[in-house]
Amino acid sequence: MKKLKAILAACMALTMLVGCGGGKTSTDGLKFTYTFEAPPKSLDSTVATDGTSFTCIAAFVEGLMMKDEKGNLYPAIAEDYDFNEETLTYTFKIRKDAKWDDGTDVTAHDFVYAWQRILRNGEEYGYMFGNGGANILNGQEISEGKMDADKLGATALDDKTLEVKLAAPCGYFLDLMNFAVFYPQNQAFVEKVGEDKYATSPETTLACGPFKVTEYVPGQNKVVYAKNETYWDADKVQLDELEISSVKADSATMGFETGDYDFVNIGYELVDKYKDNDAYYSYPAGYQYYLAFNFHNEALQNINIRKALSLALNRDDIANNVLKDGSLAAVALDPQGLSFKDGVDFTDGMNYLSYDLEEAQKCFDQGLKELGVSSITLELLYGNDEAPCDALATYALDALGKLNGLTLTNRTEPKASRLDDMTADKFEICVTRWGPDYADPNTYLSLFDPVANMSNTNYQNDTYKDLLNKIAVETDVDVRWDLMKEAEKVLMEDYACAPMLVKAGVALMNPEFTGIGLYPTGPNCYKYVTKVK
Amino acid sequence: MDKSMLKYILKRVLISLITLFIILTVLFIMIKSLPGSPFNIEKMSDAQIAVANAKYGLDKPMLVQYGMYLKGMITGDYGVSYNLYKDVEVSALMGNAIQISFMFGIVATIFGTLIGMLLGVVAGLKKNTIWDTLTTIISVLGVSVPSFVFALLAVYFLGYKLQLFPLQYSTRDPISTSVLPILALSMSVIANVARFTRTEMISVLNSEYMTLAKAKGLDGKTLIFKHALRNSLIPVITILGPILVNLMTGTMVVEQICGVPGLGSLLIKGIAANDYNVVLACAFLYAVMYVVIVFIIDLSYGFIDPRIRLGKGD
Repeated sequence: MKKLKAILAACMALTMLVGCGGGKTSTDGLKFTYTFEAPPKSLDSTVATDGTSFTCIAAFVEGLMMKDEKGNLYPAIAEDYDFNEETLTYTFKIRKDAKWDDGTDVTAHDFVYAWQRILRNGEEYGYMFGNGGANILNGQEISEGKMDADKLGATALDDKTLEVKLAAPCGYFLDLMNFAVFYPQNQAFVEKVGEDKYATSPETTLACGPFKVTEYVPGQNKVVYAKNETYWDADKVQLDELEISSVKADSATMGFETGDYDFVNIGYELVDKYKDNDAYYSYPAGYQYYLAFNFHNEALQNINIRKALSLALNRDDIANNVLKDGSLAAVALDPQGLSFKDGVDFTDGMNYLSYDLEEAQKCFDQGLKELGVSSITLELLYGNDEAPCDALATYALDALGKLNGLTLTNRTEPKASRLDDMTADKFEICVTRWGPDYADPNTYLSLFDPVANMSNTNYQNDTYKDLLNKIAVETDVDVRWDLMKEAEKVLMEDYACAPMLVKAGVALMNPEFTGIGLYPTGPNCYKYVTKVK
Repeated sequence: MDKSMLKYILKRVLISLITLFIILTVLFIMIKSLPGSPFNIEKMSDAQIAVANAKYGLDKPMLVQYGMYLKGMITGDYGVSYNLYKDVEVSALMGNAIQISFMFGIVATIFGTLIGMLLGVVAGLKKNTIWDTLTTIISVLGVSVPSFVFALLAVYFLGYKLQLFPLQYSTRDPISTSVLPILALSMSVIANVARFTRTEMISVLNSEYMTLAKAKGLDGKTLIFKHALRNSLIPVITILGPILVNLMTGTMVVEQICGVPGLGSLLIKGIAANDYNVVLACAFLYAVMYVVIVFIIDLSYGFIDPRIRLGKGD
């Protein structure tokens, strides 16, 4: 018996000893640890399709233009550029001191090679070269498999000059250059390590950005970087080490408090707990949550019914009392904080959405009269794994339920099924959201293009369609801006959908650090992260 | 081994193989029938979606796709990930994940079995004392409470509140960061083994050959270690089967909680992302492990328990 007790005690002691090894690994230099909920899908800029990957890639590769910590575009690998309005041609001058970390220069060929590689391999983000993105000459046709990749309208005039021809004006072209899709890749290096092995380990990545990859295994939970001393702007980089980890939300908050992580995204349920904490950090995330109306539904075809549904929603209430995370009540379809001209927000002065239950009921009754019915039943569809859509749906069901003559049913399912149902025209009203692809209002306006029907709402409006067509070919920035404002007006006064909320990102950020660049579109920027003085 | 035993084994092997084939077919059909797509279809035009599908052969009829998959399996090619880790070979992803999960599983099993045996022996020897009651409580808790609840409790109390262990698994520090998940996983092992060992111990202590040994004059220590222990511990192997199966399902959530990039985590993420090849390979591997474990345990019954073996021989 004594022997048994002794063995038991020994086992427990061993466990304690092992545990003592736990703790943070120390580095001599300045280290910052950022967390996402999911690991990157790929560090290959031609293959990546998700935000985490884009951010992880942007840490070690730069594009022609990049964003600084305030969200302003600055010339990165491109030192300068020229735009010919008549021929729709951009000419980029590549920086002389832009180098890959194996000593070779970054050249215009690197861009042409990478761009063609995406299209040649039929990668998903190939669509960004077409009219859903940069509108590069032949981009749309190549991405649909109708033309060969080497016909793309991008040429290296010489090692340091890149010429890009557009098929149509693209007001946000420079903003797009900040995306991983348009980054360069060193052809000799990629072919040497093999296309399928490229970017699968630190040895198979090549850096020309602020950091270089020191630890990475696909499928593991983190990517670790060290400062890249051969970076053309290395003087500005203060961090010695950067770690991007993927951690589940609950463990992440605990890890933040124990000092393991310096940045952790939190859900709106934790806002109350951390609101007064020094570490509380709210930033524009650019997602617009809205109620989509299916225009194949007879009741929803009536403008008064749609107007009533929109007027019955108290958006301030949702933003301030339900989510409370810095999210803003929507004022139009385009979100606030996404797109600016001369320092003025596109949505400045817009006020298309208001709350008025009495007026809503009046419009609803009018609608019922026009339809010749005394009541209608509508179904609200939403995803059960897409927070905060469930909170928004619950709110909408309650708010819209206050309309007399309206019976609301609801249906919930996983996001994948919800998307399938929307594409298959199997919905009436749906809580959905749209994330901007680029910092230009057109990313939202084109959602309701009757031809492409990306919103799946089957919206039809000839005036709107004409405006969109005009916007697509207008080269004058001011005229185009005004056209977009007009299009927004048409859409909103037609109550094509009921925008609800502009989602803010909420996080806990170590107050000892500053200089992180987080924006609604584009990868995060860690280049300027430093300790607060 | 006699002829009838050999025939029995061969028959079981054949049945197992057929079972696995049926499982694979059903898995394949089910996974391809899931709603949604591994691609970012929200933002792609129909033509672009068609290009993406064609690139991976997803536009071919299901039978053709299945044939291609089977052919690939023979050469060890399980396809590539379409979504989670774009274009990375599934075999590479699983290789890394399996190493980690197996290590966790084996350590949790060994650790849990040792502790469980200790508790069970003590409880059996000291029947109806405080040790016995404690063991019973631990057993009931360990069997009824799911392992992920233990994981959450461990992470919260031991990791966060008391800061004894790191919260997340990290390859930089594999030993100390594995403690919490292994503790959580081993709870059900401890519980099952303790309960079983206690029962066996009691029945052995009361058995006729123990009375005979006592009568022969053997003292307490020899009695316990040479006879009682040996005879009550060997049958524990027979319950390892269900224990291992429990572990397999337990790892899925525990891995998510403690950030362990293992097989369970890969499977769950794959399902959420509609990543066909990843889900197929992981789910099928679980099926194979289950079938193999059950097969081995069934066979081992014959060897371990002499009563069964001798009985067959008659």
